[in-house]
Amino acid sequence: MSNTILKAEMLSKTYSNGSIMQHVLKNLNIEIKAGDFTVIMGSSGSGKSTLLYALSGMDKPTLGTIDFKGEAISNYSNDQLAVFRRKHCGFVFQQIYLNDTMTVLDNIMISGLLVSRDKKAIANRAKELLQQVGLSDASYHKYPSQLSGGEAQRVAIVRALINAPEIVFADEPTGALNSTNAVNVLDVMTEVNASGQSIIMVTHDIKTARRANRILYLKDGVIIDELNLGAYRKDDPDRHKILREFLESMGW
Amino acid sequence: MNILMIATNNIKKAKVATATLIILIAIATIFLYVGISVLSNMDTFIDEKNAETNGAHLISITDGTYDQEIQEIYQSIEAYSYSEREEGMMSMSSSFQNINTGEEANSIPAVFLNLDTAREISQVKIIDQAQNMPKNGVIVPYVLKVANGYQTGDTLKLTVDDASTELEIAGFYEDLMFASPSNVSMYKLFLGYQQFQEFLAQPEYGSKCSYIAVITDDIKGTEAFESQYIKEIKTIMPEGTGSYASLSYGTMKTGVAIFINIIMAVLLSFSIIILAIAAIVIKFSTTTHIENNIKNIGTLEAMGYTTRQILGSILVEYLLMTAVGFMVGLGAALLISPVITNVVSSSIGLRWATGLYPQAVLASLGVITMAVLGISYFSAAKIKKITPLTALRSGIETHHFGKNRIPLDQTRLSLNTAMGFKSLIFNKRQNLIAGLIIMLLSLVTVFSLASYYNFSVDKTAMIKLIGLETAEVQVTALADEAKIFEEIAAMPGVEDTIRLNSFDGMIKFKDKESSANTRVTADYSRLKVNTCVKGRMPVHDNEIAITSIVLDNLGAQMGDTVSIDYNGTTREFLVVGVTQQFNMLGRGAAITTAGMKKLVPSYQEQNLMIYLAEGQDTEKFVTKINNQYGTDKLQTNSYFASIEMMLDSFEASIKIVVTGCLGIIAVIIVFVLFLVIRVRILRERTRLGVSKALGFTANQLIGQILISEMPVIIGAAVVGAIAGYFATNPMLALMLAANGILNCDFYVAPSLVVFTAIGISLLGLVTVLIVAGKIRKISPCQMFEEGVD
Repeated sequence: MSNTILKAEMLSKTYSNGSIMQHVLKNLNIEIKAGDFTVIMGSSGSGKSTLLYALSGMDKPTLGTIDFKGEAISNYSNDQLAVFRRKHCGFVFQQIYLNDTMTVLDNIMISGLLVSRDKKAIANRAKELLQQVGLSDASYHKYPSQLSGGEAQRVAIVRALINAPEIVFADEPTGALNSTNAVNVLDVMTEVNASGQSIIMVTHDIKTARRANRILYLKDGVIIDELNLGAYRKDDPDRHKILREFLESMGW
Repeated sequence: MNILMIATNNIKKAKVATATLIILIAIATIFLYVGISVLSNMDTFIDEKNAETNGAHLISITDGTYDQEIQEIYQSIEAYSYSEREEGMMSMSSSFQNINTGEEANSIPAVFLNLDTAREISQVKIIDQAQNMPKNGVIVPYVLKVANGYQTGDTLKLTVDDASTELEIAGFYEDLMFASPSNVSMYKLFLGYQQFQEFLAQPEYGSKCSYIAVITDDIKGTEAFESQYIKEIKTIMPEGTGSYASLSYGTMKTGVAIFINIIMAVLLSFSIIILAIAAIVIKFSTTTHIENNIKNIGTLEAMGYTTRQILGSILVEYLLMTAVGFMVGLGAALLISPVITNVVSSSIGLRWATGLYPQAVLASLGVITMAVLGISYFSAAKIKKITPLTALRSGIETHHFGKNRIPLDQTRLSLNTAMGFKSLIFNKRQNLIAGLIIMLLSLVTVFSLASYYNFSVDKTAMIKLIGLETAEVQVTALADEAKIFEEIAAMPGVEDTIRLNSFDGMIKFKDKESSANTRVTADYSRLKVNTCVKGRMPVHDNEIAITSIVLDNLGAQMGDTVSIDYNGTTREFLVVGVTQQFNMLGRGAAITTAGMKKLVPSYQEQNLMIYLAEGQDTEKFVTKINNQYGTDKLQTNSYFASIEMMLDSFEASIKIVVTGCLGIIAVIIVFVLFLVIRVRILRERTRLGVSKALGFTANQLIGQILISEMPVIIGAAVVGAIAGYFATNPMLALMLAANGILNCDFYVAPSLVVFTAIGISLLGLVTVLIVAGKIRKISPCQMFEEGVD
């Protein structure tokens, strides 16, 4: 398939603690297309985050292959994976994980400077993106602790987007936010997706999942089912109904 | 859950900090225990050792002319109990060389005694005795075994000018009076009857002498006894004639322990430094522990534990570590007791036995426990202020609102360098602590190496400190001194000559008096070693310079007028300067020849210091002089070489102590940096994990840590080494202050400073690299989800 951006085959991840082996992911096959907004759902301990980290090259699978645009990244060394992540991936975490000791602008710059040495261009792009996510220039030199949760998460999104990655990985990005901030953040994510970037997001929240065009449901390390919402418009009331029925059938 | 359970649980969670602290406490225990046990037992040890052989309280060695008068002097002194006189042979220009060890020949005067003489005082108990006493057998001081590696059966070559013979070592003996050449620059050697008689019959090896040993009723008053003896003997024997030596038990006891006391003081200081480092580690670990476990603390508080109980658990935690560290340290101290025994024995020349001293155990345990508990209490006391709610909310947030000193959009630094410097600024408290420790250790390294250099490699500064001249040869003319001295001064190879005498003077001020080895020369500005530390040396006949110890004894100061009693004549002198010297226990004075002539109008210096031109062979020169004038007119010795040899006995001890200190410094640097970096990785695991997720490679993150530590490590190492350059002499002076040393002039080579700075920096940076390398093996999600510890 020409527009497949990420492909995992027979993906397995096993953790061992002494003699106890824990099989978190079991022989998964996934294909992510460019421009997809994919949501991974499942109960706690089902392997959602592990799958996200494996797909993003943050963790190596125990078995199986992961290809990015036809290249097997599962064979990469740690350093090659780091370079892969900085060039092609963006990350948004539930805990936000901004560096408390650095200003908003610096938090974004550290990511940008990994790819380009043009400080001025990166700073300008950072400011532009910050404006886009609704943060004024007064926020540039603030520290994360001076921001609200929603503002901080928007900064984190800008950090994820600064290098214009093909895929943005998001691990419950609205999990720590109040509903208003959550909606703001999801709006931004939706806009990002609309601009052509793929998003793979882990969530527990049905309202968040509703933004996606594809839902993967994980149980005990296996994708037990998936739902395609691509046929429905974002504002279609059936979209929510179908999703709810899907999740109910999964035991939600 | 009780307090002990909480404490043991905390220990299990902080394995690295626990291990570091236990090691530091163990090292501090070793030094503290060894220092205290040696210092507190030395006095008793020497007394008991002397009692074993009924050691003499006073010894005098004379040419035998006035034996009867000397006996009468002794008997006239109230504390006199009994004495023994025996015939000996005095060799002033002897030199010895152990053929088996391959050592260089050592020039040192020697008194030979007959082993078979029956004696009550200073009995000879032979150590490592040969099965059969060979005809040429000789019993030598124990110090030669322990410090110089002599063995029974070795061949000892004795050379006196052109005559030489070989003796076989048949055993060793202990005697406080002749325990170490550092105390008395003279060997006492025992020969079998036949060999002794043969020596007496061969005047080329020396001249007959009287060796008198005295026992008094008051072993604590032997110095006063000696002073009285010296005062009286001067009335019958003019200065410089016939009296070779008088040694009192009190003076020798103090003298023999000086060096080891200094070493032990250094060890105690070192243990205090290590305890200070342990205190820093405790402070650091406690803060980290509270920060990392704030929620657990909140849970415990919510369960009903009082802050006092939680604080108690932290104290119990450190108490357990102290107990383990102390036991490990004590065990290690006992394990290394052969090394300690060797260091002490070679320093004092007596067989020291390192054992378990309960008082020293209790004292060191007390010091360490108080220090550890004190600092842990103050470090953890802030727990009292934490309520359950603030604890459960992860404590009072310490937000960073500081100025952004390195904005990434403006800085010219590369990303990794900028991140490294940002981290340096953010971790300034930890960096300051690590920097202080490294600086301190760098300073101690320079001090240790400089001490080693000046004690063992180039002894000139040490000899200056002792207060002696650096002349290669010293001659004592028994007749025709004016003519002989003039001829010697004109000899080829002689660069300079100075007439310099000394006598044991009794200096008085008001109602106090103190003995002082008083130097006499015409012009002090000609001396190569300036011992004056305040004021000036005497120029006029009514002037005197005195060491600070004598001034303290007298209660006098510069500007006061003191008097010297000599041979029934008393003259007053104005104190114009303060001098320092290590020899004669720091008791010295200096007057001019003109001043001496006020006491003895016919006075002539009989000693001549001879400074040879560079490249001249001292031994050949001595032989030449002796051949030219004969030993009946002139006594000659290789002055500088004999002092160097005296210092050689310290070399082994210094080497062990310095090597040990440097090894421990290295261990501490490694452990402190290990702890700092390990804790930092633990605390910053999330940031590091996120950085990895964003695309930083492990090498970049390691590089950032290295860059952030580099200024601290290199800066502290350089500052510490430079501080060591300037502080070595003041620190040494402080340590030797009790011996009247006010100024030291040890040579601290600039290269030493450079090498120390480079060495410590490299050690530190390599440690950081290795510890930070742990980042490499961890995947980003692990780092921000599970941590690394």
